[in-house]
Amino acid sequence: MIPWFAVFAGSAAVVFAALMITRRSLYSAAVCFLAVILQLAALLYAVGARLLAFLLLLIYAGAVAVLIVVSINAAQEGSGEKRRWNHPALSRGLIAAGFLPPLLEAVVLLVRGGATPASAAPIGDLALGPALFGPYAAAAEAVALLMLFAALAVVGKPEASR
Amino acid sequence: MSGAVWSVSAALFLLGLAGVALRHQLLAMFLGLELMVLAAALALGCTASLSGRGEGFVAALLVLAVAAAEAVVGLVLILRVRSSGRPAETQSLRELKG
Amino acid sequence: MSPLPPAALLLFLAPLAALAAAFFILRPWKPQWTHVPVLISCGVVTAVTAYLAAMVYTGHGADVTIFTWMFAGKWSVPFGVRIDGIGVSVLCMVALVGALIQLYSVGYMKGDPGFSRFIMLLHLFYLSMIGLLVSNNYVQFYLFWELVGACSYFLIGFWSHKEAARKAAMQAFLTLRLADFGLMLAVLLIIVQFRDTRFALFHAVRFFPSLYHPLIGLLILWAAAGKSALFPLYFWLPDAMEGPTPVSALMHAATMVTAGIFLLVRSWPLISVVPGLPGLIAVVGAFTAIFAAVLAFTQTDLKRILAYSTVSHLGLMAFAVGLGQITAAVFHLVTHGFFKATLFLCAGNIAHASGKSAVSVSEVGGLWRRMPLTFAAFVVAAFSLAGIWPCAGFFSKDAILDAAFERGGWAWAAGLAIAGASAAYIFRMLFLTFFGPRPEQSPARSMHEAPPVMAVPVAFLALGALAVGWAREDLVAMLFCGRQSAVAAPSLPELAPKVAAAGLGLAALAAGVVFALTMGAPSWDWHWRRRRPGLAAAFAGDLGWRRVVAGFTARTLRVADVVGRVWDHETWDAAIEKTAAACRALSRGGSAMASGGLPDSLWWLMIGAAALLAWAGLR
Repeated sequence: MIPWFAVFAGSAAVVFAALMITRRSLYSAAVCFLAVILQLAALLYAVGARLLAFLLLLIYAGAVAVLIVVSINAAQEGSGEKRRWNHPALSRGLIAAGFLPPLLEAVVLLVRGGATPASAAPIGDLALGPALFGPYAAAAEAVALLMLFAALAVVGKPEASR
Repeated sequence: MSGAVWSVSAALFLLGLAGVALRHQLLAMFLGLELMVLAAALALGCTASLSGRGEGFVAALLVLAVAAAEAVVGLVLILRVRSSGRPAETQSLRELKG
Repeated sequence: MSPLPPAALLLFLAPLAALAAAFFILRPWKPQWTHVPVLISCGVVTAVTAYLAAMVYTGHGADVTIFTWMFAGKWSVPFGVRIDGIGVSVLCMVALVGALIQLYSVGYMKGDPGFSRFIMLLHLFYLSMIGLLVSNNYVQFYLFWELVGACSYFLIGFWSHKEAARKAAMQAFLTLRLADFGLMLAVLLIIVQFRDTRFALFHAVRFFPSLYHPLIGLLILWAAAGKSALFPLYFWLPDAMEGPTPVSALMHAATMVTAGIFLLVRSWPLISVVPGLPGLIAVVGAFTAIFAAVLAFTQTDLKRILAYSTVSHLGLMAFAVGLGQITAAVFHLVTHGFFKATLFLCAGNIAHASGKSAVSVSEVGGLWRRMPLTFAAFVVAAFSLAGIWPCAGFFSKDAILDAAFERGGWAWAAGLAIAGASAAYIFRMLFLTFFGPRPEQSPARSMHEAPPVMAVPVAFLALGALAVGWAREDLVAMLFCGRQSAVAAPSLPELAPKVAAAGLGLAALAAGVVFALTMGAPSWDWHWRRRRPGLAAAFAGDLGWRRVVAGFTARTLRVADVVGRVWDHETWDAAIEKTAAACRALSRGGSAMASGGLPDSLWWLMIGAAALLAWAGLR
């Protein structure tokens, strides 16, 4: 049951992601992005990382996606544009060739990089908190500082022409 | 199971990469970027859950946090570009001035 | 084998000395005396060959290397002299006939502005032919073979102000070149296969056919077909009659064209072990003989009749070789040299008397009264050619017919056909030239007998054409001595009376028929030409073979044009010229990569990240 659910959620995420990058209208792209986030949260839940799933929903869907939609509104170009795709100076073949190495690496990793299969019971993730304040305290502190600086950058330098 | 998760992660990553490389609106590129980060976080979280090691969760959480910070900064930059009157497109942003 | 007698070196030194004296001393000073050192050298060479013949007859052959010509590591090519039965018998004929013809040419070419050049070139040819006959090994043989071919080019085109002569010389040279290429390949294959090219090797060892053998044999046959005017490559010979008559007599009747047959005879140990190759030689020879005899019957120019007759007799010699009777082939080669040279020199007498260089049958007739000596010599030589007893040609031709009879079947039929046809054309020529004159002919008023300097050689050669056959047992004995061979040469076949009767009867029948046709009241020889011009044109074009050759040449030249001009111009030159366009395209692509636009920079980012990952992963 659970594996099939996970597969379904995963493929739905991929489909929505593909839709997202091909939408002409940025609003539609944002909505698709939201759908991806929801599917991934479901997938994480199904795998057993419940806390992470909720956190994903909270941070990504709750904060980042909202920010994105607000920015689309503020940038005033959400409605359909004439052009979707950019026109690089490089030839199309070369661009396509650029996608080849990551694809190959993904395939190689999938085929070769065999970690341990699914264990019997999902591990509870409520030990996340002590981990953050224990061994990973420095990392958590650094990330917190980063967020502070980001917030400062947003509000810090007012532009002359607004 | 883990193979399925990893293929989802890889697919999402590649799609995000395509979005970054091929769209010309900055916001669309940004969405692709977020997709890539999401894929990384997914990989980390699922591996951690499936193999029983807790460090993966920590890493995933930190990735999420960094992504949020980066989203803030990026969107502000895009809005600044817009407020200076130029369209937020790769074609018109060819110089570092402004 | 015995050591080399020093006299053998005179074979080379005397002509070289004569040529040096003629070129450096006499030609600038007194060109009309050029013939003096040359004739002295001819005499010396003839005397030396007689001495060598005596030496071989008493059983002392020689095969000696004079010096090493080229060498590479363990492999070397000697320059040497081989005195054995086959070489010496042909050498005697060549030396004697050559000397007599050079004496004749002194009279024939008197007054010609190129007299001294002619005498020297003819003597150079004489030297090359002698060198060919005494060669020690295939590479030296090839050297003299080429030298003979080069001299033939110079001499055919001697009257270079005539366009026909130039074209004939070029045609002869190129055709011979095509054939010589086969010989060169054969020599190279011999070197690859046997690592040694000396004739002594091939005669000393009995060996079995190996990998390259059939190819070597075929290439040697190809080279001999070119030089000796056998079927595919014979067409240069009739056109080579543009040269002066002594040239036709010496080269194209007695000596040069027999070089090919000589090559076949020398290579007999190689050829005889390849299954089917002697049969092929016999077929080619028989076909050439009959084909050329038919064509000789229809020609109108005197020298061309004799040219086709030469082709026919060469085919007959090849036929004999193919049947395995190399002794008979060599015998016929010797007798043919004598009677054909006589015939050519008689034609030369007629040409000299009429003041032109090419005489057609309409310009002669009834000459027996005015040129009795020429007539007598011609009759003797004609009887010899037709194989009538007691002339030399009877014995040699009969030997071949005996061999054909023993073989039976198609060989016997071919032999009979050749005998009949050759009698037919030579008697036609005899009747039309010396009897009559027919109403269609108009001989010139000035026809007179030749001066002594020309008549004497003709007389001697006619004597040879009569008498050489009487020495045939000695000839066979000589061919057997001085020749060490594991492959025994067959002796001449027994003279079967039935065969002799058949041959003689056919000749007589042919003579009678031809007499009726040419001398009869409605002279058939002119009438059929008028009534069927298409047929006359067909015969003039060698029954279509000349058109085949022309087509082949045209196609080869077209291929050469494509390769040389089109490929060179449009492929190689264009490739070089397109490098500029290629550079431009490359620069366009390269500058596109550094365009500075965001998507391109992202592409580079992607590629770089992927490369780093790959490097990390591979480590």
